[in-house]
Order: sequence, then C-alpha cells, then structure tokens
Amino acid sequence: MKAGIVSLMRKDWRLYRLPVIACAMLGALGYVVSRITYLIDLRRHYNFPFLWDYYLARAAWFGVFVTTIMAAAFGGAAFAAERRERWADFLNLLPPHRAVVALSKLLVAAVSLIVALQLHIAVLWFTGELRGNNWIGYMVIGCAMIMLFGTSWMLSTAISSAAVSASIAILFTVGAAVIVNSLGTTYGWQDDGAAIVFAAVSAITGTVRFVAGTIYYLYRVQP
Amino acid sequence: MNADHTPPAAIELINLTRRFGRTVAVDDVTLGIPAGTTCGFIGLNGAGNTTTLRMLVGLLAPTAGAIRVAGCPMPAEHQLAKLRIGYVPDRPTVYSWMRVREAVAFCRSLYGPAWNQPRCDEVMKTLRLPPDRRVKHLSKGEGAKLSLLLAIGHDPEVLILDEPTGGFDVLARDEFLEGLLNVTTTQRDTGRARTVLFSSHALGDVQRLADSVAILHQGKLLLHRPLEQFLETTKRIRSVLEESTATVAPPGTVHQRISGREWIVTVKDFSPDQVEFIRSKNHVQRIDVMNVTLDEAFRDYVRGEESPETEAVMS
Repeated sequence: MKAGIVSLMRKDWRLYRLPVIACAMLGALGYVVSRITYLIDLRRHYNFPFLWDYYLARAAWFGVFVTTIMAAAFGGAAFAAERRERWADFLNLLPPHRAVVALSKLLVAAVSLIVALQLHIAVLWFTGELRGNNWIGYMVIGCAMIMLFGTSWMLSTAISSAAVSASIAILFTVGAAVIVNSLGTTYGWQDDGAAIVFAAVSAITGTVRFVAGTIYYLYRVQP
Repeated sequence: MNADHTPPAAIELINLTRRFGRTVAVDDVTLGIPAGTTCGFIGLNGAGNTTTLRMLVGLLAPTAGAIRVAGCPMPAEHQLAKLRIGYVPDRPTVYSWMRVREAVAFCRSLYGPAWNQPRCDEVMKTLRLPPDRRVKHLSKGEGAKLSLLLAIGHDPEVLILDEPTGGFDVLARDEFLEGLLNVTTTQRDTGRARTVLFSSHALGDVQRLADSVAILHQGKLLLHRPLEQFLETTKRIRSVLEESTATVAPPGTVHQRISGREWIVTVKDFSPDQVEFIRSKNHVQRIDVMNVTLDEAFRDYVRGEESPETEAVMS
C-alpha cells in the first residue's frame, strides 16, 4: 500500500509537471520583471525614494495571485489528461482503489500549491509586507483557491480537457467575485463585507464541488 | 456437450445489453466461456466486440444483463476482479513517458506480492522488449507486447485481448502470437487454467489459437461453438444447376449465392440429408460438398445475416 501510493504520487508528479512548470515560470517572471523595473526606475530618478523590497513585495503578490489562479490548472489536470490519453483505462485495471488514486492526486496538487504559495509568502514576510491585521485578504486568497481547485477538479472528472476545466473554474470564480461585489455595492455592505461573503461562498462552493467530483469519480464505472 | 462434463464458465454474460443513446451496441448477448479455454471473439467493425470486452473488464457499465468474470460479478466486484483479469487493449494505454522497465516497476509496486517478477523477466526476454525505451517510442508490435507483459505479470486467471494485432506487419503478428501462445501454454503447464478471450479481425490468428469461436454481428451473438465442431459442421454445397431457375435451399442454410448456373449454399449443422434435399428439390447436374475455413464461414454467416435472400453474383 505504502509503495503503491508512492508510485502513484511519482506518476502524478509527472502528470502535474506542466502546471508546476507554469506556476514556477510565471511566479519567477514576476521577480524578473520587478528587478528590471527597479533597475529602470533607479536610473531614471535622481533621488529614488523606493527600496528594492518594495518591488520584491510586488513580485511576491503577483506570485501569490499566479499560484491562486494555478489552483484551477492543478484541479483541471487531475483526471482529464489521463482520460483523454486513455491512461485512465490502464490505471483503472491496476489494483489501487480509486480513493487511493484520488488521494495521491490531491496530495501532489496540495503540496505543489502550498510550496509555491509558501515561497511567495516567505518573500512577503522577508520584505515586511505581511501584516497581522490583513487576515481577510489571506482568507479571500485561500477560499478562492478552494473554489478554483474544487470546481476544476469536479469538471475534470467529467470532461477530457484540463484547459477547459480550468477555464470554466476561473470564469466561475471571477463571476462569483463580480456578483458578490455588485451585491455589496447595491446593498451597501460595510467595510470588508463583500470580501467575507465572497470567501464564504468560495469555500462552501469549492468544497461541495470537490466532494461531488470525488464521489462521482469513485462511484461511476468508466475511468 | 454433456452438462456434467462442462467445466465451470470463467466468463459468463447473461442477457448483456449496452445502449449508447438510441444505438444498441450489444444486444441481449448470452455467452459462457469455460475455464482454461481460448475463445476467439470475431465480428465486423462496430459489431460490439470492443464494447463487450470493455464491459467485461469493468471499463464500461452494462445497460442491462449480468457479467461474471473469474467468479466476480462485474462491475460490482471490479476491485477483486482486477487481480484475476489481465487486459490487452487495442492500443497501448500505458503512460507514454514511462520507460518499459519503469512501467513494469510501476505495476509491480501496485500489485505487490501478486506480481510474478521472475515470470515477468522471463516473458520480457521472450518478447524481446527493450527495457530502456520509452513507451511512446515503441513500435506498434512492441507496444502490444508491453501490454501483454503487463497484463500477465500478476498471473491472471482470465486474459482478455481486444484486437491486439490490429495493424501489425506479418513478423510483428507472428512474434506477438508466439508470445501469447507461450504465456497461455506455460500457464496450462503449471496446472492453473488460464481462460483467454480475444477479439480479432485476423481470422487466421483466431483459427490458430482458439478452442472456440463466438461471432458477434450488429450487437447480437450469432453463434458460439467449439472451433473444430464449427468448421466440421459448416459446409459449402456447390451445385451446378441444369438451368438458371429458382432454387429451393435446404434447412440450415446460412447463406447462398448464384453465379450463372453455379449455386453455392453454405449450411450449418451439415448432414447428407441437406445434399439429398438439394438434389430432390432442384434440377442439379452435379453437387460437391466443400470444407470451409474460418474466414469463409465467418463471411458467409455475416453475409447471410445482412442479406438473407439469395445473393446473385454478376459473372
């Protein structure tokens, strides 16, 4: 069993290679662009008021944003590619129960996303950007990730395109954000009201979709 | 065959039906394949062979009916059946980035103690598979051999192959069939009966390997018989008519065609009475009874189903 899940995780690590590379490259791109911008600004202004940390923090926030969006890519890649290439047929005839197969995918995706997120958060901490009172912002990011991942995970159990699953998940999440924000403006919700409602909606919807997708995957006959 | 002497069926389909929307892909098929035998499953493209095999291995749910493979009702006991079934699909479904040895190691780690590594090494040598080549770089024949290797690594009781030699050249086909014969024969030598069900369009392969033959046409099972008996009892009766007149075919006619004054009737369950029937009811100059190959018998069965009326051949 232990050897089995390790093999499955190694296989899933290979399956997730594309979103991992995309996540790493886009995240790194933010830092490269920040550094270039910093050097340009440094040459332009005689009395340059900003520190490198300011630019670094902007790159880290961009990295957090990219990682959040990439949650949709990780969810979408979970089952869709395997089914499109018929690798799912092969896997379906091997002994591990589908629950173990799904667990392996979840672990690899979660570890990849958490590591990427932690790297950017570490940069934010290093630059002094992390404030203890910004918990609503962190909650919104976390809940949006749940919504993105859960939605694309569910879709990838039913359709054969990771890109389509991820795109629909992003559309759903952005749509939810726009609707909640409009409601907040219409009904005059105070301060962070819209953010809290969006976080709650995202967390609940994302979790429900993740569970629904998992149950569907576990109980249907087709791989 | 006497029921008392019939070995228990390793594969049982009872009134199996599968629909895709309004299309009936498999229509009320009932079939039993005794343990330790090899059955050739033949049919035209779209006859329902692949759909049936996918239901047998738990990759597709039946719309109606029951399936039992190696004692496991499918798809309910799919998890248990995995250890008893080996499946070779029509094209390799192994992860394309893996090397051959990585694919073997992957399966070994998932099967655990059920995996027979010494046997696997032996078969790998016999099949001459390149262990360091990636699956995506394997030829068609090598891909099928890898699928066969991975399907038998856990010594399954039932081996199911879906057109494994489709698109092969002659040598690749020979090598694959030798490998298949090797694994089935060795299994019989060890005392454990392995049941093999394979679908193929290469009827020569079926004739070479199979103990029995099942013909599926438009989703329906036309027949399932021991191959030897099938070929012994299916005959072509060739008559030369005195004049081109209407003909009266004997009972048991599967297919008939007329070309000028030559009238060829393919009959099942051949008996001399059928020849006498032709002689007595028709004006014939001469009658010959001819044996048929599996290929000819299959064609006549299928043509007979598609055009039950006499086929007139332009000469």
